[in-house]
Amino acid sequence: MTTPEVVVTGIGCVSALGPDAAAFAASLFSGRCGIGPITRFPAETHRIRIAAQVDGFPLPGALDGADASRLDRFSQLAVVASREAVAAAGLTLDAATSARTAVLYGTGVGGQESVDAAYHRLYGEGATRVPPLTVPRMMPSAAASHVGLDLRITGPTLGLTSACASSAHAICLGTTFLRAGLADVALVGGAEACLTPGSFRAWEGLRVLATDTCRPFSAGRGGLVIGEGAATLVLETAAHAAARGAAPLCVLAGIGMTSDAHDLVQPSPVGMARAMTLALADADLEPGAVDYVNAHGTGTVPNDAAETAALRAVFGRHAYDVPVSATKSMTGHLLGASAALEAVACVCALRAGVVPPTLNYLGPDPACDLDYVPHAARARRIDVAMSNAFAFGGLNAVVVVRAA
Amino acid sequence: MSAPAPAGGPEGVAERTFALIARRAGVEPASVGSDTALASLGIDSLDMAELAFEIEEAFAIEIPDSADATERFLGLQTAGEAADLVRRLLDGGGAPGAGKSRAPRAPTA
Repeated sequence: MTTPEVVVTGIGCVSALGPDAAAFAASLFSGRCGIGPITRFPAETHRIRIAAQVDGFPLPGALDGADASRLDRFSQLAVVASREAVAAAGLTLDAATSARTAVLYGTGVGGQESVDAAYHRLYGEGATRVPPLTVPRMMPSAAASHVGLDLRITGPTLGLTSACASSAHAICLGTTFLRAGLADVALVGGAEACLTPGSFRAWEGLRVLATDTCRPFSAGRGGLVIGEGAATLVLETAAHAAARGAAPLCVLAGIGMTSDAHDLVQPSPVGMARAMTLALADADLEPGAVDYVNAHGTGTVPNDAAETAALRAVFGRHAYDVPVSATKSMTGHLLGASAALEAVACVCALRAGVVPPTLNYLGPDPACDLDYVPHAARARRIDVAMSNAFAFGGLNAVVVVRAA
Repeated sequence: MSAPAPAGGPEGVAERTFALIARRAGVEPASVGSDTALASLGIDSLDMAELAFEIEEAFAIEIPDSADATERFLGLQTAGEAADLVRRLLDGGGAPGAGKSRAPRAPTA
């Protein structure tokens, strides 16, 4: 039995760049930065007062039919992104299809707004009770559950967490489920909504957040900027898509997963490079075939230098020819949702033949000497795109897509 | 816990900084001096983030979040360099964008 080919048939996302995938792609290609002052909580006393917020969410009607008051914001974002992806795929989830559909949904920290509100009542207001639905709102699997409930999906459904690689692992495992015959369709993605005072205080202590903006790979970069949002991809076996007459957006060609076993927060180029190499081998592609890399590119000094070293190790001379951009400079870092959003960016880039830029670039850092597509998008034929995710804990996952 | 006001002399600052470093590394305070390399004490990047927090609490200073300042702190090589940085911040100058002294944090419940 040959391994089934896996294709992407639908995408959906909600981010600081807009309420859906079309708005996201338009902003990516026009180089619009979604980072701005925090308004979701009073941040005057905070060291870090910027984020990439999803403003105006949900749009009127976007959550109709869902009991939105019972969902933490990260689950709401997941439901809206997943509805869009399924609609874009033209997928009808009848009983038979639903039973053969999986949901694998990543998050870094789960229902932080519910956690923060409950604990503020306890410690800030001296209350002895918290809202009764705090547990089902905050659990990290809530997004997966609500996507499944909302779309009536009855196949294997679970939440995944591996910090900033969570939704990359969701894509990798969804692909694996389809290849293994465990399902015909997999909704894979991630959601994050942690713009809360408690969460930001925690991040401040780690000293990895930028105070001005996100400048991946640039001289003078000061760290990452937290963003929020969700992204979902509909994966399908090529045979299932063909049988229902669905045209693939692209092929989910390769996956690679490694762990550094090196340091909880310091990245290792070795583990990053191994993940990229595994993904290329899985896709049966040479490094020279890659036309675009959507980097993990957080904007921290160590990540961007290590990722550059890893790209040089994997691509050799081609590292200097292939455009590498960090869309976190526009979307912020969506933590557990970032990889799914960046996979969507790769699909959009491949479909449109446009390489998204890296914004806020001030000039070269000697440790980062590749073509980061500074400032403005670039037209280029893209047959193969790679999306990197390298998480705290040294957890690496890489996805390769290619034209159908 | 809030800390006592910073000791006056430069020696006091250095000794207290060394004591914080020693406690973080789990070694005797006497074994930390100006030339002691932080790496030789087994202090890693997470220790540095925690040390920054402890120094801020102890001296009621703020190590700024500017890229330069954070990088400089995380890049400190020796205990003496750490003490020098604390001294500059207490003086309200030295490091660019640095030196904002603030009231000690109230103990949290």
